[in-house]
Amino acid sequence: MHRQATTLSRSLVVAAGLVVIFLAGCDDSNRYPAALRYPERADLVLKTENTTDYRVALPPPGKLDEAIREAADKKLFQVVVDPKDIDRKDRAELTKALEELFGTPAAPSIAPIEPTRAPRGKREEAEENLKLYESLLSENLGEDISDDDITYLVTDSDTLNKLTVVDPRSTTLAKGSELYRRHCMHCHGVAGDGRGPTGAWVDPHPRDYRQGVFKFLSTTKAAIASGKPRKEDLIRTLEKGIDGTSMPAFGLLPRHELEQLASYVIHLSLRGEVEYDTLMVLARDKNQIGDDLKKFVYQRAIQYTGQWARASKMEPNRPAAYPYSSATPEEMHESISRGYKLFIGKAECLKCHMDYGRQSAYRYDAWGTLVRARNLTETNYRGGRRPIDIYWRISGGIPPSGMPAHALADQEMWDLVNFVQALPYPGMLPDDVKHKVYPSPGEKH
Amino acid sequence: MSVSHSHTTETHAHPEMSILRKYVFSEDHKIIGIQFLFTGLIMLFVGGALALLVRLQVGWPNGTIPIIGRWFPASWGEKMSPEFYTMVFSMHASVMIFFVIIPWLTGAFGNFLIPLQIGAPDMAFPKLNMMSYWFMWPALITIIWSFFVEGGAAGSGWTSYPTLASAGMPAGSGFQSPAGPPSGYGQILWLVSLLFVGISSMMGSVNYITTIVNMRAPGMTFFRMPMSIWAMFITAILQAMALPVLTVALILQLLDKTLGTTFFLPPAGMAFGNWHTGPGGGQPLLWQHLFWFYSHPAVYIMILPAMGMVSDIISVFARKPLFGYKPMVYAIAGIAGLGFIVWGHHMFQSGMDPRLGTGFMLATIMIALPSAVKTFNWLGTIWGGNIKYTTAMLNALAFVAMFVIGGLSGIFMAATPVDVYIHDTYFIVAHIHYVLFMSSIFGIFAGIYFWFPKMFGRMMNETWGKVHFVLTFILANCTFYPMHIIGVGGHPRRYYDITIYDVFQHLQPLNVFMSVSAILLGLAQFIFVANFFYSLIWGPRAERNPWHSNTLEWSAPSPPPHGNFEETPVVYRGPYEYGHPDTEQDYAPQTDAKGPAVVAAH
Amino acid sequence: MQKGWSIFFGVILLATFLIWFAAPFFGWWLPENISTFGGGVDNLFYAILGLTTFFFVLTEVVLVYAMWKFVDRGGEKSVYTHGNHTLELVWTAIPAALLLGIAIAQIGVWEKIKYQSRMPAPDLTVSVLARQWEWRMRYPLDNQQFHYEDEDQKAASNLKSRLWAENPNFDDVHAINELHVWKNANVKLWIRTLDVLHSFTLPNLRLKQDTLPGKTIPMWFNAEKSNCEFVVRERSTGKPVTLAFNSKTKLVEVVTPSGREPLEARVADLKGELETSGNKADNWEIACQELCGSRHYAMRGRLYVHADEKSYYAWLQYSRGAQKATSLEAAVSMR
Ligand SMILES: [Cu+2]
Ligand SMILES: [Cu+2]
Repeated sequence: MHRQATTLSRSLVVAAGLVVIFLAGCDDSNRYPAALRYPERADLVLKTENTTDYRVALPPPGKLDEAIREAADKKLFQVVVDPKDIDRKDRAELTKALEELFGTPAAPSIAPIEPTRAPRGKREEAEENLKLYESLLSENLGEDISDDDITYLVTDSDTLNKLTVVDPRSTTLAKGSELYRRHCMHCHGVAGDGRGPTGAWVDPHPRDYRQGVFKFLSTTKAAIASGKPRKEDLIRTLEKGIDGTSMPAFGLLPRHELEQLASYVIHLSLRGEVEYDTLMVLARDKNQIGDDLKKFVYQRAIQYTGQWARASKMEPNRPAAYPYSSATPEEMHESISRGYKLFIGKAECLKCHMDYGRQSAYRYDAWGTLVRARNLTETNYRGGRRPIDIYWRISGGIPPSGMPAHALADQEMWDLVNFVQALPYPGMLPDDVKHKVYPSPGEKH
Repeated sequence: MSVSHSHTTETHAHPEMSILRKYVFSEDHKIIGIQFLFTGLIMLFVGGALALLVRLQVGWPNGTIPIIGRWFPASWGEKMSPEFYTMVFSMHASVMIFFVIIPWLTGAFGNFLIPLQIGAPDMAFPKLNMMSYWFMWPALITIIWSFFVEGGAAGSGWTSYPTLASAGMPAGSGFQSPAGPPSGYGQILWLVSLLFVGISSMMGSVNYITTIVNMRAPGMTFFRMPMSIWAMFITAILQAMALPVLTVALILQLLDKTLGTTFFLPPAGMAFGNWHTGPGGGQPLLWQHLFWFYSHPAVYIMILPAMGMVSDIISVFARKPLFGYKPMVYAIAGIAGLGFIVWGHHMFQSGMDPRLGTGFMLATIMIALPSAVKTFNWLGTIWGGNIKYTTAMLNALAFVAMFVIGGLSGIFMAATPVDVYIHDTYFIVAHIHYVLFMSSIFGIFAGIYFWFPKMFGRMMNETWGKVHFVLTFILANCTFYPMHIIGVGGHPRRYYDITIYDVFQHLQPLNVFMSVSAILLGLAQFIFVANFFYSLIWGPRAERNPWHSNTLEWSAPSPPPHGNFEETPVVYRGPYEYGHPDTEQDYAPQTDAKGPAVVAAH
Repeated sequence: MQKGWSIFFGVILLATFLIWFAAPFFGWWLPENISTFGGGVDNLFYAILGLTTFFFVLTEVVLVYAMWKFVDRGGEKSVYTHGNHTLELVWTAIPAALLLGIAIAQIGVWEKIKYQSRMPAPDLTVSVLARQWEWRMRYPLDNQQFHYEDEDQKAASNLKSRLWAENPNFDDVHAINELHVWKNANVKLWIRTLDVLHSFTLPNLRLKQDTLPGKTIPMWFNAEKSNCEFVVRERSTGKPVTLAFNSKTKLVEVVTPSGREPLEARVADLKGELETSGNKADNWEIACQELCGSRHYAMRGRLYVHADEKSYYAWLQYSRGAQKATSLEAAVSMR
């Protein structure tokens, strides 16, 4: 009895102590743990040119990286770099430089920390980093980019506190990181690599931001050479979701939260692209870097910041006036018929959207995953269903997945848009077009 | 009439049994019962750990989980991933139901008590009995293995509703599921595991029914059987009739998942982004009918034996005959009978014809009646008694007190319009935990404290038993009672994070309170484990009949030898003759020829 | 000392009893009901709560009292009885009568909520398509086509609207996770799913229905309270514009000094906004309540009950205009 009592009481006290410690550790702050670092990129670094169609099936759920590796082994990609092959020392230096620039998930930034805010022992180092960054600014950012342009990237309308380039650890990014952790991380991953726990289990796979390219833009590559989206484009995608994919609509979140999220996505994309690019260069053309890897990383970070700022400053692609605002049904039918002819003829849509997309073939997109031209007989449009969305898709293309940009005359553009809009609704098509698109059974295509 | 012969002497003929035959591949019902008991105890801790993970996530949905967070894969950002959470609550329920409560109630107590309480030397089919235990092992191995396969263990709830559970890629393109990581290999192993559990239970049921019908000692008429035996008997019948339906359902889903059949896949198939299941020809609702045709009776399989044991224990420690023995028997039979025609109450909102809902509602409401009758009779039993507050009795009384809550909360969801609101909220979670944790588990604790001396020949420590009881009673109520309240607030079940909802987020403080209570509740169980194993080795030796109980098992030595009784017992009266005015001692064992005039139980 | 156990039981059971009185003060209670049939659900809930509380108090008081009174009294023997037939009859018959009463009392409410034959002619029809993990709503421009006056037209009208729900129309207005209706309108929903089971649940409406792959399931409700109004302003000046509503044609027009123009055509220079009270309690949310995969918890939608038909149609036609955006100006029309 006694022995039992003491043994039992002793273990109970220890257990109770452990519970107290454990519960004290439970917080509900939404924040990333302060000690958490962005993971180093481990998956293959690719460059692809999506020109070839493949008659292959989608890999089964859960096989994102396995499938990419398999395709890489079959030499289907133009450039493949395995981060494992990079010299450990260079890798460590890169990681360090990235952290100086972009901080940690709990304290994200897009430029080196201000020395006064650095921890005591690290002030001198921070001062040096900042000096280096500032010395590279004018040369790499571009004359057209002002402080305000960059501030716009990393602030939201709710936190319109004025920030300078040298103090970009804005509250916006920190709040964005909390929101991201809560709403996005499951799919898009801590590093924005599209490899969160859910990432491989949904198809289309969540966007991997680390190449700095995105699909749905309101600008064209001709206007913005870098092909970066406007911040507004990201916000619209967040707000409306992407129909037909697992990207949900976050329209119920307040506007300033969407802005915070978009800013954080820009931060992740910047960080990822600098890493992507440096790994590419390290593996293929190390001379370009010379012996100062840190300086190279800083330069690239500034250049890409400039690209993002430039894109966000850009006016969206302004379409020509819509000629059919007050068209009669007959005029509309004529426009659709003309659009149909363009679709099967001059615009060469059928080449990829085979059988109006019902039988499109797969090809590899910029991220090494399989995509195919949209089935346009269904009623969902991933980039948005408004005529202007479809106009932007056609005129700007979707470069990362191989949809080319089309330069058509103003009226032709709108004819094509009208046709694509009417395509899923047989009742909206003129009879002859309807028979072509929806042949009744027995009729040949 | 019941049989019993020189079987006892025969079993004494082979005393030289190897350790392996005696304790591992034993055909002795007592050893098998104890094997089930230990297996259940281990799985209780697995299921409990899973429950605590659920509470951690629900209590602190956006927090970083201390210590454990570091063990998660790096891509999770030290936060539990949503699919991991679905896996955790699905497996918590599956483990608790199929590997703890059912094996404990029917496997452990059914095996241990049936031959002893009816005066038989062993089960009718000892080999079958042994196999029934060993078929649990493939089930255990598959379910544990499933945690380590690609995508993790099953995560579609313990109900595994298609099409979330059954969705697969078209035949020939792998076993991963487009519906989510846990619906792939983990789900397949879950189905296989449950098939094994089913085989095990079926073998047990056949054995119990045969043994009870054929092997009662001389004088042990049906209406002289203790309530535990009645409960086990009716449970075994329930199980034997309902299990085949579950087995069919499991096989159909297994075929859907492995061979690409489409029993639960609608004609148009399903689209998950770019993945498509291909066309089907089935109906997802079919699963729900088949599953609940088993699983509603299963709810009773998980409580009737506890009711039986509690009836016995209450009568012993109130030192008073069980009040309304026959109404109690009829009530159990009534619950079992009605239990087969109420399965649709789980499907009121499923898209089943609402007119069917009305019919199921009527049957369901009436099932409250036999439950009420049982409660009133337990109260009648202690009324006018001489109550001895042993740990076993306290647990049994807790069973009664908590079963009232679990029973009454059932009326809310039986009412179809109220169910529209509370279906799939925490009110349902509260209800099931008041029936299965607060009732069945307290019944099981009562049973363990009560029969421990007979099982192991030693007494458990009463003081620590009471400490364990007090903590468990308080903390379990703190953990589960507020679930009613958040259920009324509309808190949906199986939610990873309610704080994104304006309508629910104000309920979060209660979640934190329940999570803290749950962690403490989990820890309190270590007191029980310590007491159990300490007493097993160092507890004081138990006499033959430490509780002065009437039933037959107490006339055998503690623990009973192989073959149970020194000589075949003869039964002279019912099991509940306590406090008879004509005798000196306040009990009259069923085997005692001299005792008070033989009274037929009403 | 032994009597202490009855006190212990008594205290815990009393606490479980009292929490029901404390909970509403903390706001942990049924959310506000806004539907016409929700009152029936709530009344039934309170009736059952009353009845179960009565039996809870009765049985637990008897239990605790017996635990107190009949504690082991040393040498004394307990009362020797095997039962009482009259008592058994009484405590079977009375609960049976009460339970039967409850059972019958609820049939009417259930029929009103769920029976297709009882659903009123719709003023508004909405198609709801669930998928992992969102609600996609679709609104017809013309609701008159599914309305009917007498029972003879009902079946045909039902079929017509179900076919519409399964086959999108060119003119439909699409919204994600947003359910728009107006106050006192009979709303009919057709719910479907692309993938797994979901459950369309609106706690404030006391409404829930699972979706079933391969099925198109009807629901209905009528909201008695509104939580928003659609206001249209001049984009350049921010001044509200005057809208005219034709209750026959359901056309909303902008009134200008020079005449009237359809709202749909003017989205480029107008800014439409949903004005809500900003009060959290008025955020009526849709939650999925049938497990549908990892982000089951994130299938959040919202119910907007417009103050009147005019506000609803203004929203609908404005959204339709925004959905037809062909110019940059129109593209920024909806926030
Ligand atoms: Cu049931
Ligand atoms: Cu859902």
